Amino acid sequence: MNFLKPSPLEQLSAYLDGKLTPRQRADLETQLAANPQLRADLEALRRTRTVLRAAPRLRAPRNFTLTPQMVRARPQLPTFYPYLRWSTALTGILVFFILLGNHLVLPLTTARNAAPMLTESAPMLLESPADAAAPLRLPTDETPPADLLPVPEGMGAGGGGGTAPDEFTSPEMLTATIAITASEPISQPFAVAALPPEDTAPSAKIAGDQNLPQPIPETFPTEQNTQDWRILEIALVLLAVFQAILLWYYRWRSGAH
Amino acid sequence: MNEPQLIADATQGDLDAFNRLVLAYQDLAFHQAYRMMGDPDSAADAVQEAFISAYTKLSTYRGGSFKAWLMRIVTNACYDELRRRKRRPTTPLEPLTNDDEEIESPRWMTDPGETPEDRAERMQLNHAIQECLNDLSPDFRAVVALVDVQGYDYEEASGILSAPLGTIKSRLARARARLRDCLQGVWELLPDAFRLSGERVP
Repeated sequence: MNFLKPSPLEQLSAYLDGKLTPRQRADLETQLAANPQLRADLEALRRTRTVLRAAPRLRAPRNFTLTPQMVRARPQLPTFYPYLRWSTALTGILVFFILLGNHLVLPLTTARNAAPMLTESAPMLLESPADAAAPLRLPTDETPPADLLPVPEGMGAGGGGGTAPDEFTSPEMLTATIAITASEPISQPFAVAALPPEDTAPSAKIAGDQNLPQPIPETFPTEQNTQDWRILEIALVLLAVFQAILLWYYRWRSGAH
Repeated sequence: MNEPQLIADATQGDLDAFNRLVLAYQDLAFHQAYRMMGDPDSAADAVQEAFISAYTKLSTYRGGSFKAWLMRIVTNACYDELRRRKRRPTTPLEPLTNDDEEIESPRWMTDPGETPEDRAERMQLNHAIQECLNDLSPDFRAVVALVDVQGYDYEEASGILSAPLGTIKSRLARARARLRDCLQGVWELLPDAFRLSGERVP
């Protein structure tokens, strides 16, 4: 099925050569009968074709027979030439993607080097459930002042019958305090409860290292990996250049342009 | 001439067998090359290249019309030569007439039986046709040379040029239209027989 109708010019040209289908010929002849301009166009084409067909037939000015020297003089392209061409193209594509990776992907992954350093230090704060009961230790091993620690309700504050610093640092009290700050809403009345040390582990979100984010394994490129990629990149570039030179040499030698 | 046998022998490396094929087809090849290139020297170069290429590529001939296979190689050689000339334009060395027109060598256009008047008429016609062909693009020129000048069928031209049939029809129609306009400009220069209405039997 023809989706595009041939132009009137194409139809006239094909009509001259008898290349229309019977239906197309009948349609065109109907149009020709009704359209003098179309008939004039057809006649002009017919005359042109007549002139062309009358063009003198030319003879070869000399013999074009071959000599052994003609055939031997030009070395042919080697049989592996098509494979060399494909190989050069593939090497070039590989080099392109490796260069792209080195200059786009690598800087992004290098930025992630700093992130695991922070998570690695987190488990160091509390290494065991026992540490949850111990006085809170900062990385610099400084104990915060007592007045910075949250004061539970009912225990008083300041000088009005407040708890003595000694009582506040007892394991039970500290555990209860941690339980409040970590998991219970502040508005709830404080219930003094001496939680056994072993119970503090599940309630204290910061107790134990099983709830802490695990250190991220080292999958990002290290310096050694980067060096390996660089060597591969250089090797592929050299290979691509060498193959391109070979391709050019064989084509030049065979005389192909 | 047993063409299949000659082709088989030539494929085995028999240069003499191939040269017999060259002698059989060189006029046809030169005519096509001349119509595409527009001058005899370039056409001769293209034809020589084409025959060398045909001999070395005989192994790629898979049967069918040897003439069409050879003409495809000749046409491609002409395309290559035209591209080369486009990159490095050359100046023709042939002497020019007073009107700055090249003196065409009559050697390859001579017909022993014709009168001088007939020869002059033929040269005039040839000059007019070639001038108009030279104004066409190589693709259009190739189609017109094959179909209208050499007499190939649409299907044969499609095989030689490795183009779909629709493309051949379209290019031929447009080439004829351009030649019609070009030849109208030199109509008074054509032999009388072509300026009369009706067809002239060659």
